[in-house]
Amino acid sequence: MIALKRVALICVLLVLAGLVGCSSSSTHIAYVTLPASNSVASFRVSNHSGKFTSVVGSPFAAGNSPNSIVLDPANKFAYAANQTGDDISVFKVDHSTGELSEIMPRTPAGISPVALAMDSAGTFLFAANVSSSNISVYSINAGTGVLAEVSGSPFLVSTGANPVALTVSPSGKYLYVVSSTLGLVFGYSIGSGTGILQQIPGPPSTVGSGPFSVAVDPGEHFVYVANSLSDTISVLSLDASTGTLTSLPNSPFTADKNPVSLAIDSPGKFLYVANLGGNNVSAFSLDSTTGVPTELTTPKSPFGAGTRPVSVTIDSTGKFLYVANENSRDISAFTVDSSTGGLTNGSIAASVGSAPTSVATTK
Amino acid sequence: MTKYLSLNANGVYAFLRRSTSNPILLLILLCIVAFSAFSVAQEIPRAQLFGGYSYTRFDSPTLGFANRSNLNGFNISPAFNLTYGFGVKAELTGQYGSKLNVRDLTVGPQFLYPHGRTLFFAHALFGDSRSFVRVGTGEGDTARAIVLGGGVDLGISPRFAFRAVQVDYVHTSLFSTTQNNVRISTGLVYRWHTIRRKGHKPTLSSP
Repeated sequence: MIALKRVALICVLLVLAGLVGCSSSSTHIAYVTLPASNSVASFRVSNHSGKFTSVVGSPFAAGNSPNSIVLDPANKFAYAANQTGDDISVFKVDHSTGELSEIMPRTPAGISPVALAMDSAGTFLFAANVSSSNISVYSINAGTGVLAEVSGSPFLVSTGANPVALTVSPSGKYLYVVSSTLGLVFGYSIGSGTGILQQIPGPPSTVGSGPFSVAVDPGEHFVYVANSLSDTISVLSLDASTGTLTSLPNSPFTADKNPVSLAIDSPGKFLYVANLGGNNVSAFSLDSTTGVPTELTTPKSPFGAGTRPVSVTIDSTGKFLYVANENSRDISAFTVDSSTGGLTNGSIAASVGSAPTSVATTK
Repeated sequence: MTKYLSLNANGVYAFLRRSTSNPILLLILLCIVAFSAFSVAQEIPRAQLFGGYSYTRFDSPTLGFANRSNLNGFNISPAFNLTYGFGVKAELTGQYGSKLNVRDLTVGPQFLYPHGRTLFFAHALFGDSRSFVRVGTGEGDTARAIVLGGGVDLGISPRFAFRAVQVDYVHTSLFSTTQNNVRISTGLVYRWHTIRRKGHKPTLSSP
């Protein structure tokens, strides 16, 4: 009978094991800036399905009008540009819960920081200050996440330039800054170890009207610019030895209505563009030799998103693409076909309550 | 077989993870445990008060956590048996972890089957669960809870028994999602009076 008891008990344990199931914890975290609520929303995202689960306790308090967010390469810290706070919030990332804990005090920036970029090594953080028309540059303490402004920062772009977007080349040698009002791209070399910006010799590159986003391909051969008012994509070839940009002969290329955000997949095969006026996302294949973008026809681009998409992000796995939709106040999620570049299973992954402006994901 | 009966929580969970089964079998098996051998049953306590340690493997990914959470706490459970093999039970549990805690208050029927000094039981309890998550500024919620489970009491004296193990599936609906949790409890049971099956002499003394 003792054996009978043990068998009965083990049977109960077996049944309960079935109820619990074997869990897979393969996930990443998506952080979404919500300027209207001065907060950052956090979601746990399945690496398998792309399903969003809201983190209990989210959204987390940030500064005034957080507009852009980036993560350091180790995903230990997140940085948010507070547009009306004129400062940068530094957050500690808790991977187990998805929590963001702000490290005070906030770091002063220029007037109206609206965009952030970080080099791939996580050494320097760059902030585009739209109202003071300059770039703040900070060195990052890898252990504490704390920012220290580098010598000479902020660096003036040009009077009236009103920079709205910037990106660091994959090598970490160059910074490219977009002036929406002037329709120009300014190039800078980044001082190795110092972060000091030196404008690349020659005039800034002319692009289309209302440029609003800039991206460099992983091979560091081409720079892409979304021209929001002329509905085009400008493509410039990049001289990796000098950082000099030269417009392609056929540039700009036709896009959908009001392109405002760009993302390139990690192999550099496809370019995705959020079209504010088209309420969709365009997908282009990229010619690795010429840099020319060709809009996908099979499957047919563009792909429907929410209302007024303002930001597009590819997650670290490369399997999913997220779009922040300003007016529908939600996040669209797509599955990325890595072979065709097509987007499928587009759906609203999460509602965020107020207008989202950017999305950053952990590894 | 004995190694599977270890009360070490990690060991039990590791065993659970290696196993799969159909959840519908739970109630069937528990009923079998409670009723399958009435022919050799003898007597049960009229009233019981259990108190002890409990461990919960909480389904915290539904709250945005990366992994399930290990919670430790208490389980207090009075029961009054109305007839031979059947009674009502209440259960108050508190489970605590570094980032969240969960407290459940549930009531419901329990079914008992004595065999010698061993008492098998199964129960289905219903009530509320209250959780507080310490993430950000913190957030709490209260929701329905369903507890299905059972266990084994080993008599160590007329008044006391050792609850060798109680295993529960705890279903909660906190924070607008649903959680499937497992709870394991152990501790001491204090017993009053007895209910005899016809034809058997009492062996437990009444305090």
